Amino acid sequence: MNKSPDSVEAALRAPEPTLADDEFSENVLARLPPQRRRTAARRWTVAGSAALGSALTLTFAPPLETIVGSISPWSIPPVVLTTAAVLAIVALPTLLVFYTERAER
Amino acid sequence: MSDSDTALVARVIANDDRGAFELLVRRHQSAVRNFLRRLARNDSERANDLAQETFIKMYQGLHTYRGSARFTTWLFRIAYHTFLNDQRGRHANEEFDDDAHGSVTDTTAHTANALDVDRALERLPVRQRAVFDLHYKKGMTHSEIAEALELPLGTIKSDLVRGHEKLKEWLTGGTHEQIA
Repeated sequence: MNKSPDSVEAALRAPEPTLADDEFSENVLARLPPQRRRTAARRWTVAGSAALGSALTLTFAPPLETIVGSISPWSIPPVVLTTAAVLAIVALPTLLVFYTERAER
Repeated sequence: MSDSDTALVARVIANDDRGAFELLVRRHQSAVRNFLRRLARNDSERANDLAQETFIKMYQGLHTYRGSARFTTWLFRIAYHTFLNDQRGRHANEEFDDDAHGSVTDTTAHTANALDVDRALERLPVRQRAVFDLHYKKGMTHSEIAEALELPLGTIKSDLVRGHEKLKEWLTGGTHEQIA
């Protein structure tokens, strides 16, 4: 009256029941940490802004260099000032994104 | 056509896409809960709690998933370790309670059915229960089970052989020995 080895094997291979979700997924989602902001979109926005700022700076640099050179009390070459401005335009938003994302982790 | 697990994982990693994460949970919740029920000897409440914890850990560790293994292999590894951690916190050595679970061979109906086998499976040690569930219910290969449980391939094979011997002994009328 006992089971044959074949019937044991067949029973082992019987498919398991599919459990209804019954709010299980909602409960998991409710336990997640707050959603990150859209990091990728923010990075592209910053990169685009930096590129646009750099282009504008380079376009208007020659007349600005003339003005800066005429009013600057120091003997700094205008091209150095322009380079510093471009670097600041690129670096400041990058640093801002970096520190913001680090704070969000 | 539905997104693959890997595509959904990529969306979660790139944009913290909660919709993609929810799809992953909905897709795998039944298998993970069944697996943990098996390990927890049919304690549904505990299995559901551990399954939730498993998916939270999955979310937190998604950036470590490299895609070299199947997603489910990685997911069941998390589930198994979640269970083991919980188990350590409960009892150092879990003893099977025969009175609570009843005898496998004293059933009046002797047709082979999944219920009897399920009860017999509960008598196996936790690692063998995991191996049997992943092999027979999830259809995983020996190598995939070895990867999921982080055990040598030989251990998986011997667990299956020894587990089979025990099950056949219990279910086909052999001696009713206590599991060490």
